[in-house]
Amino acid sequence: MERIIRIKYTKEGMMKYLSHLNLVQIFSRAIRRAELPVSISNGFNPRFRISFCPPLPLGINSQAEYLDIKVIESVNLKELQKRLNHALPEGIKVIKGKEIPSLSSSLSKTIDSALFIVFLDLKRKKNNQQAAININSNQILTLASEEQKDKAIRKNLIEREDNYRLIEINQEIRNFLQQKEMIIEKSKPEGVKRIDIRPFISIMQGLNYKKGVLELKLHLKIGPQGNINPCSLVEYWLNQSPYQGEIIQIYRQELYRQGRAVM
Amino acid sequence: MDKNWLEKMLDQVEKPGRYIGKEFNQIVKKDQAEMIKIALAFPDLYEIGMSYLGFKILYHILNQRKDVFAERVFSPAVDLERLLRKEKIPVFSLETYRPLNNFDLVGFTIQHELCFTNILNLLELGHIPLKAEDRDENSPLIIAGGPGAFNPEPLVDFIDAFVIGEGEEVILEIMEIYRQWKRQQGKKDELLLRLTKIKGLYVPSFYRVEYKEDGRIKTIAPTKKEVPSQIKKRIIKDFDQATYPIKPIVPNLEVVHDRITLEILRGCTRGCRFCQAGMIYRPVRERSLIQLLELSEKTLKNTGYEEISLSSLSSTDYSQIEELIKRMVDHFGEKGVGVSLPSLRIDTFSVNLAQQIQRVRKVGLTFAPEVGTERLRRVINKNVSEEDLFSSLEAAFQAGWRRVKLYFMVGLPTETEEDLSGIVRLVKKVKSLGRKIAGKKMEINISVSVFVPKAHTPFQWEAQEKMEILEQKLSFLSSQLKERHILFNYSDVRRSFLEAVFARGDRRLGKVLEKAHQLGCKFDSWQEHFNYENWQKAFRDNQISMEFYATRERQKDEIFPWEHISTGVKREYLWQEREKSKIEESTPDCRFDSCTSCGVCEKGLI
Repeated sequence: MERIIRIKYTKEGMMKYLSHLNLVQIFSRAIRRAELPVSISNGFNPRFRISFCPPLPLGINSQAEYLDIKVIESVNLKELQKRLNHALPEGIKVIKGKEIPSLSSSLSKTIDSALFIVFLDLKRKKNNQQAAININSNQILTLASEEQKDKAIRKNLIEREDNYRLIEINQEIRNFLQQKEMIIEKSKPEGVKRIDIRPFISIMQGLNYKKGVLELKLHLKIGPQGNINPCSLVEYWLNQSPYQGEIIQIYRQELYRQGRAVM
Repeated sequence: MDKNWLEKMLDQVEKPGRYIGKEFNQIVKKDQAEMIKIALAFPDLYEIGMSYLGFKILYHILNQRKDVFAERVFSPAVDLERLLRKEKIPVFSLETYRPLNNFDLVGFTIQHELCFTNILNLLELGHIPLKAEDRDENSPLIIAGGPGAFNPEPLVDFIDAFVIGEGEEVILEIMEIYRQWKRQQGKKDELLLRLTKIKGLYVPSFYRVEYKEDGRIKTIAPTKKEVPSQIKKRIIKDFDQATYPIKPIVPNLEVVHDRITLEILRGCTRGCRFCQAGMIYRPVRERSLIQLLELSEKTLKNTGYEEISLSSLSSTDYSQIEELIKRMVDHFGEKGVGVSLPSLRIDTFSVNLAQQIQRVRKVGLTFAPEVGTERLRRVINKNVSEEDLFSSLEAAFQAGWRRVKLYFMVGLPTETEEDLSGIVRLVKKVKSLGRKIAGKKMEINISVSVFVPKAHTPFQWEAQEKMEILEQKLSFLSSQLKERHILFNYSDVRRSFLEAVFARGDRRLGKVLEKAHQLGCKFDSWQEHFNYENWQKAFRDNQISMEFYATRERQKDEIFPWEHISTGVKREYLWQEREKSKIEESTPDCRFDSCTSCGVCEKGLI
């Protein structure tokens, strides 16, 4: 009896530099090494019957990738997880698995949104020193050090300043999201393609700002017409914002179907 | 939170997966005192280097030793190179991202002449002085081996020692000598001298070459008494038991040969007169059937590969090939694992074998008739007939193959117009045969390369044909074969010319190499990077004639730059073969006929 096992796995560290195509090959070989009873397709070049979630762009970590594996006999999920993890390269790790009804619709068809967390090294642009909320940390610190040498207060003041900055950043983002259209240009082999990325954005919000690093939450839609790379959105925003920044790390935190995490 | 230097770079390059390592079966060791650290350097991209069995064998053998730490370094693509230079970061290994200049030894694999500039470039990117004379005991020792080391002379300025022949045993002997020397904290010269005691090791700085007024070599002689005047190539005595990497690294990204390469036999005595591999890898040795089945079983388990390639210079010559294929297909077929043969001998026997294999996975068919007439085939000692070719192809088309690949060569000695039109006639005949049996969906892939005379072959005395004539020949073929169902590919004549220069080059080419490197020549085997104008400039600036090396016929007694390097095949035998080529006389394979007295089986070598 054929069954489908859905697994959730992470792809982190250096593994983020491997493409979706590489991943197909890596899993096929790991399955063979793990000697799992996976169903094989017919035809001249037999392949394992496995299907993936929407591809993760190169350079992005993930805490939540999914893979459906069609097996030809019942398997112990713990055993499958153990054997697969033993056979996978460092940086790709199965975190859980479950059997799903064999008529379930495919991952790539039903997943409709993704949550990303972007860590962004963020500063005001040099020619744009005027803050939306007028606060100057140096002034405050000078005052503080004159009147009060207490470290706790200094720390508190820095935190308070970071919080002000976060409010200010989120205000900028809200203004940014007012736009009805956000056209980016993608160069493709057949020429430059113009894409409106605005419809893809569900949530864009700063969660935290500490020591110059912004933790940015992006909830982006994935539709039949494709998806957008969070890097393109961040770059597009930075260009219009009073900030300059460099992406430090991006994580795909979860994939959703109609508002609920896949697993 | 900060981004490390490596990620900063990898974010900006194409295919960053090439540089990250972390593949399954990669070996990462802790750096402990007394450990010898060697970088196995491959002067081309990851995708190329990871396709070579020899490279994997050495990695495996070295890392089996507890006290040795071997890591891989490949040429970075030009985008990463630019960043490394800009940031002044040395090129690094894939295992621990260790800078190249941080190893005790660097061992280069030399596959062919067109990777020479990449060797220089890797040294420079590794922040290691290019020239051997500028490096002392504080720099890594630079060694090199592989088929490209059989005429090492153009590289002697840059490499401290060459390994001639098969590396499986000698590499550990080098480690041993190195360890003793390192413990005694000796000078580099002492190390080099000790290395000459190892059979198969060539330390070029202990040899002096003198030239005649006309530019030819007068003498090649050792400068020290204790150094051998002839360097004899190494051969593995017991090939059946030779180390085979049963836990090879499984690349994370697609490489050129992404499968298990099972070397079923080594050497070839078919005796094609243009073929260097056929001369330098002698004698023929086979692995036993039992051993091969066992090795493939283990390697499959350890890698999860879906294909095993039965590799060698001529795999259908394996004495039990039918039995081997049958057993493998029976055993692995049901697991969806395919078996493949890299190229086929031209006979129906081989086609039947290919059909056996086809049961699991679809495989392509490749034949190498080499030339267009039976006459020229006798000249080059390719002992197959046109009849064989057509009956093989007929069998193949009938068995359902729709695509075949045919290899040809132009510019061979004595080639005439008739031989060229012979290629056209042959291809057209193959096409009509294919159309008759296979119908419209048939395709013939024609690949034509230019003959390059190579050291240690019967044709080492021959001139390469002039570029203009070669161009004409290729354009003639291309115009005649511009037809539907025929795909025509041919090599760049200028690149073959450069290859011919270095294939029989001497020490004086070192400065040309250095100049070409300075001018930015690299990845010369890649069409998109090859810059012939810069090469011409490098030769011009050094007042060295390319024609002297490539298109000049040598006299019988001329001293070759590789005269002191011995493959075991005697010079008299090679000359005799050359003479036989002139009278169109063939020489049979000694496995099926009498001994040809090539010399390789004589005492001292095996």
